[in-house]
Amino acid sequence: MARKKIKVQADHSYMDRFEEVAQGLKEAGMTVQDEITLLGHFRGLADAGDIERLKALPGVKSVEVTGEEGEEEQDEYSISGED
Amino acid sequence: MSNGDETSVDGEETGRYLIFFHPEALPDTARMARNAAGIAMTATAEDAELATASEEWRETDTVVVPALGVAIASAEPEQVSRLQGAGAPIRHVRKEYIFQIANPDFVSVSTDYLRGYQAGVNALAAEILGRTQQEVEAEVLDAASFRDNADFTWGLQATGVDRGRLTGSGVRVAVLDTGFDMQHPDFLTRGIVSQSFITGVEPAPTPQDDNGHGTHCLGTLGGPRMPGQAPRYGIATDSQLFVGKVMKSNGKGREGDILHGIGWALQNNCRIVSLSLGKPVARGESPDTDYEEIGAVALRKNCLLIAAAGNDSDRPGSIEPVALPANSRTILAVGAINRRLELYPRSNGGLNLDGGGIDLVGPGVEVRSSKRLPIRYGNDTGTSMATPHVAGIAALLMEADPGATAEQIWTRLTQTAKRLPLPSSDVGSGLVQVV
Repeated sequence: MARKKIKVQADHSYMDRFEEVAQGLKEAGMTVQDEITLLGHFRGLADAGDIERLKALPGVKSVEVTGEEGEEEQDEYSISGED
Repeated sequence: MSNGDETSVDGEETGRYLIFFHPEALPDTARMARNAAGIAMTATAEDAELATASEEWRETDTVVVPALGVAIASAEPEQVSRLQGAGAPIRHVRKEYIFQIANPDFVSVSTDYLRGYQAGVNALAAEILGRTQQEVEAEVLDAASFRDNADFTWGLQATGVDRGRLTGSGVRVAVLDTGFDMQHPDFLTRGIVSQSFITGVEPAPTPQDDNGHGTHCLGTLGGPRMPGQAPRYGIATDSQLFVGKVMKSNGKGREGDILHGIGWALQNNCRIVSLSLGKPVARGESPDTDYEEIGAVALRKNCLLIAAAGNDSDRPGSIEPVALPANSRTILAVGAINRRLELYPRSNGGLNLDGGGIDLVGPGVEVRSSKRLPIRYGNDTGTSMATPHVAGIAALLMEADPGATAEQIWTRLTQTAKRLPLPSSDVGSGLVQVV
């Protein structure tokens, strides 16, 4: 079964401990592929069954499923000048 | 009859009449009035100012203003009837009204009343000038608007940048966009720090602008005091510029790349990140948790994220909500106005209740700034153009008060904004100002 692509955002009140949050995510089964530790933002893969556990970790503000493993990230943002 | 003391006049009419002549009758207005109604107009003047100063006018209480095709005269009711029935040379006869200077009661009247008053004045001007009311209104609007002059763009004038001496010196500012034209002659000595964060494209792009949008936005934020070609278009002329390429040549980009750019700006101790980009959201959609947290992290690191509200509206019929990430409560959202200080019709509005409001507006229509070579200079429109105005002014405020936190600068920007007679859901606290 394909793993889920997820993005995790840490709570800003943990901003001095974002590395600990990242470590906790990894220990809870998330494969972290992209870390923006300064912002507390992590992207990667997780089994669907692990997602609730990830959400309950200390310092985790949100976990969002963005797709299935192997799916390409889309260009969702546009410049805000007139077309 | 007026005794020359405006404060002693009672009632709304003077007792005199305005007689409007057809243009071809102007050279002979006095004779025609005498022939038509027996009104003696012994005083004439070449223009209204001369007439006002004329002692003869004061004595006879009559005046002809050939330049306007108007005569003002005392007349008996039967004389007025004869004038009104005189036909060809006389277009119209009506009572002269008293106009008063503003008083406290007047300034407290509603906007609707003032608009009605303005319409009345425009109608009168149209009548006197023999033109349509629409023509007069267009001229009034044009006269009341900002325009690029030899020294400054209209946006720098409207925001008070032209009157200030601050330069943004010592303040690090980041523009995350399509990159920047590193060969632009106005920036060759500027020492711009740049990096590309674009993923999924081979070969990996450099920070060089392959779209043009980023070059325009950065020019407004930090263009030079003395550009190669006037007028000046840049605000924080001595700020230290950081360019993060997070959007591709087609003007599209990935969230992950944008976030890497924000992280890079924070790592480099940038005090301001200007984001002229976004993603539309639905009505009723809550702000994105990630950006709420990221904006909060940036504020705690003393950095202000400033983002464009988006151009998804089509007013008056359709108003769309502030786009992501500007809809986050921890990110300053910027809408756009034009040079008449009217709302840009496509600027998004503060529709969603739990956040997603507009904080400020900036000049965003027909904004002149730097363009990719070989063009060098040109106009662009959108909330993208308004955003670097706010970012540049934030840099000036940070220079003026280096000890102020990013949150304090945010508060100062909103407190000193120029209030506009438009809904706060569209313009927030108003037009950003250098104070």
